[in-house]
Amino acid sequence: MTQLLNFQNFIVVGIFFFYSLNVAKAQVPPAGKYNTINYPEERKAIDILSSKMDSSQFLNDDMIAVGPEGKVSYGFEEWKKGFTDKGAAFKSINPRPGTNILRVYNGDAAVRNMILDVVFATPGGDFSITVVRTETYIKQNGKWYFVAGQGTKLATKEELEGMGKKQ
Amino acid sequence: MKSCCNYKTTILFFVGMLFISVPTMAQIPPAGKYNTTNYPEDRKAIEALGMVQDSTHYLNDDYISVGAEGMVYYGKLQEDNSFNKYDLKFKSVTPVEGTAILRIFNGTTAVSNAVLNVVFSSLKGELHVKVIRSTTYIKQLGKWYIVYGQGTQVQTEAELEESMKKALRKH
Repeated sequence: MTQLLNFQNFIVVGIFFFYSLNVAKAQVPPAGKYNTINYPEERKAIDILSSKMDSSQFLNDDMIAVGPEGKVSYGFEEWKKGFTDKGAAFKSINPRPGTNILRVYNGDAAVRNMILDVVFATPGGDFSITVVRTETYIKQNGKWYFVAGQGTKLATKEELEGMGKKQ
Repeated sequence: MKSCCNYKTTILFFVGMLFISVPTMAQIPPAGKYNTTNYPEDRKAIEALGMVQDSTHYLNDDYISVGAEGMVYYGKLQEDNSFNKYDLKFKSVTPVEGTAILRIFNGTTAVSNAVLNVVFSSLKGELHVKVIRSTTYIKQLGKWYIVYGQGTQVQTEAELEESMKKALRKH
């Protein structure tokens, strides 16, 4: 019960947005609200980390990833397997201008948020989604690692109205 | 374009998860995979942070949250405004057993993940949602703050298929 209550305060502000009909509103942060220039060297190192994907990026596999369909992957192998098993072919990724925000804390932690328009080629045709993506990075012994990532699909108005209705 | 390419490899993996058709399978981590006992005093402080919701928890509003519908909220005020606008009443939150994981790194950063069954009451009736919630905390000057939170709805297989069909029809 205590655990339940602990979550309540977080969740109450984190999940209620289903009725928001402002999905199409600008998703760009207010100018100057976030510090996006501190720790410039760390920013470069994190950008390099983002440009490749192999097991060395992960702090002894201490990572958790959440896909936009709500699947949790505990570790790199689970994550990778889910993708390769389905043979998806990536077609394009377009970050929405102004939505990529990298915040660095204490020089050893970082959180990146961004909105991406993604298109896949599939046997049934092109498949496109808009995803809000967040990544958390940790620096240990002088090296940055990816420890958490989560994607949330931007709901259409129709999807929004259907959300939360008991099946 | 460079920015796009930088993201390609990262995104390739996580968006590809859409093609997995089994989101309802066990969402519980392998036993012992993560360190969930280090920094015990900090764990208590982070739990206590969750008990009260006020603006002091947000590091001078250096906070970004993502709702399960995909809206980004830049700061607590945006989040609160959206919540109040629709007068939703929280009814229950039930964590799925074994899914709550709090990892602490360097004693100054923490990441929590949990799968939750949530019920809201609203003017339109009850809302039932299953979400995966992630939260990142930062410790500065001896105090913990919430800097990020995100919810993603867990889709059933049928919902996932429907969503893919609609996305395909766009082209």
